[in-house]
Amino acid sequence: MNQTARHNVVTDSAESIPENLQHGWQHLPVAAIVTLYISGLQKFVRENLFLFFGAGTGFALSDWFGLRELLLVGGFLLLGGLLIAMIYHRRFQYQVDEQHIRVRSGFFEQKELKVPFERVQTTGMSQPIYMKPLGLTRFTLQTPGASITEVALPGMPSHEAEALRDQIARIHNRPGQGADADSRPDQAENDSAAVESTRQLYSASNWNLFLYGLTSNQIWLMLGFVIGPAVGYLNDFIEDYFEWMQGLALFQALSLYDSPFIILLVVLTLIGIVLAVLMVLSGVLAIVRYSGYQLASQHDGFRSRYGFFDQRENTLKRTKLHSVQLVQTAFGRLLEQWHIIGHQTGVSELASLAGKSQKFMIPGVRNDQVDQLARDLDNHCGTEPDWQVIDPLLQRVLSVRWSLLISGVALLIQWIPTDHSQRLDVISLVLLGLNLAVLWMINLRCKRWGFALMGDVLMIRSGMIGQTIMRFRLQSCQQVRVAQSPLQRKRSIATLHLRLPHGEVSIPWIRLNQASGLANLGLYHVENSALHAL
Amino acid sequence: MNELDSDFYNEVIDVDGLPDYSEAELQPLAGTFGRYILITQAVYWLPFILGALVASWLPFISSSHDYLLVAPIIILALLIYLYRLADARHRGWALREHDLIARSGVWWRSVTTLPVARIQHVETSSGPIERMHRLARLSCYTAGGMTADLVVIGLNADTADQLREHLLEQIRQRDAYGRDEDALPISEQALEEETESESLDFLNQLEDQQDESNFKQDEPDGAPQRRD
Repeated sequence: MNQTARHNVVTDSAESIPENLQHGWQHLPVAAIVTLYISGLQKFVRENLFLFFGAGTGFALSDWFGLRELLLVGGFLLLGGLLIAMIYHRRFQYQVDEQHIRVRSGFFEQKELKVPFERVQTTGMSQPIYMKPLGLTRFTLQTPGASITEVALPGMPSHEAEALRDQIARIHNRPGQGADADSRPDQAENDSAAVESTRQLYSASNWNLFLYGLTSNQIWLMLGFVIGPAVGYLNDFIEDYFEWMQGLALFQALSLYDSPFIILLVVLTLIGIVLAVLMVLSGVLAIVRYSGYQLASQHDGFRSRYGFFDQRENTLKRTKLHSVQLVQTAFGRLLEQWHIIGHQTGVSELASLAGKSQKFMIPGVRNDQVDQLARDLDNHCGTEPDWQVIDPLLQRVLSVRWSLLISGVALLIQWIPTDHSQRLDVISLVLLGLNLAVLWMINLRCKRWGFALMGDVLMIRSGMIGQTIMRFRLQSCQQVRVAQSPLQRKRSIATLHLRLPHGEVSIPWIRLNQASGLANLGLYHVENSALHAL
Repeated sequence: MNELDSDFYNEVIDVDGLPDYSEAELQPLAGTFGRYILITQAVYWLPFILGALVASWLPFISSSHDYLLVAPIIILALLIYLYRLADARHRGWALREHDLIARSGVWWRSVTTLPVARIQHVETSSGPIERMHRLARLSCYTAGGMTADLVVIGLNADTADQLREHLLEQIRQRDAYGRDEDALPISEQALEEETESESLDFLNQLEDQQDESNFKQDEPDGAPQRRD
């Protein structure tokens, strides 16, 4: 940070630090340049994906930008990247002592961060496949707080990373840390102690991971990516296909362009095939990503380990896990599949939007496992939840609102002056059909919405065909809001919004006394556990 | 289930006997807030009205319909002014021992309660027109969020200062008590112990000025205060 800080002397009481970490300011190993380079390139490509598409198109279209220029620019970028990685490596230093880790980094302006181990909330280790032969691991620390949430050591020797993880875990284990610094157990003893207190909670089989991939919603995202460019090709393909079919004697009698049903059938079949391919792909991707998923409970938290190409290990302190989200997608309901997301304190909504947060993800959970696992996670041994429904008035209100909107549009369309009034009729009919579908969806959604209170654990269920259950202890609320619209005031109904550290959850349209009762209870729990500030 | 269970206890809580947030008597906004709204609205709409007046002098606009330009703007400004007045009238706030309550909304009303235990940071702010009327806003921030989680507008400036200091004192006590837990937020500035103790001294100085007895809610007497 400044010159005085640069000549900082390491504290003498560095006995409990693994030997190789004791030498004051350290650089990452030289091999880490390779990992920095590769991850930097990956990041560059990811962040400038559109630029690359543009460049590709430009390359294909323009004459003056030939192969030579491309190679030049590409080579320049690659060399520049290497230079950046080397400078970054040179500027990156870290120091570990008994209680803290300090990291100095920065390209132009050097920043120094000092993180006390007791503040560390989660540690993570990940090893992408190219790091394995180099014996390196990427080590990350997460601390609560709005500005800095993550400290990353990109490319530590694996054994150092493990030692550091164990050291942090040890500090979390003893409240009066530092007192027994000289009676530190050596590595082997420590490992056996860790094994003793570790309990295997869950492991996912490849088949379950595959099912998770099938049912996870990312398939629709992929579909969006694929369908866009695919539509053009599909169109060409269909036209070619029809020309070929019309060449066949059998179909010569039929004029295919006049029979819409066959076209529809072909299009639907093609879409089905694309969907099936994507689903299988998604399943395989899930296996690769979460391969060998293991979840274990430790003395003060949880540890998950998974990954085929990129091996990851995440730890999570029990006190930092504030809510557990159980998700069952629509497909997941058919295949009896859930996945569980553990939300942690300090990982804000903003950070998760920026894709920074490491959600504590448990994929591929079967119907019969989900309840026990959720209880293990929030350490609550409750009974079957007694689900309370929301007020039926909401369904009526939503139905009327949507029906009015859609039939209004249908009526407006009838007024459009045109020669093809028959087509307008068809559109209006389609709209009315849509209206029925919307009513059905509203019905499903309102039936699904519900909440259950078990001790201090509140569960909120929502969803349409699939479902999401958010379970959390009331003391993890950050803020409580009771809101009422004019109609709700007239009927003594209210909507309850509870702000959790990662975002807001709501229970819509419950009776006012229920809402204020829950609000009061939540406040009571929060204010009684004031010491345990989030 | 594990070692946590040994000191586990679970008392039955009488939900109906809990203190009810809706029974807290809410304080209205400061009396000068109405005038503040009037001035800010006037300042905001004046350029539009002047523009509309000038526009009718321009050669390419027929001058026979001056009012067609000016009247809608004045009506809109008036409606918005009335709405903001009604909004101010429905707002209210209360400080309880453990939380801060704020009510807002004209048609869609909500009552927000922010426990003091969850507040990380408090600030008061005021613009020039607010300062003219001795008004201030109080913003409370919780962990994780980037924007203020609860903003109480239209407070008397002194009240806002006292509120802020009361809340800061509560936060300080909580953090001092839970030091070996994780109560203090980590930040680049607060990493060095020296600056930390300096800021604590500063808080201690602030503490002398505070008078929190005005703000403690007594036992709620009578029906919950609701307008309309």
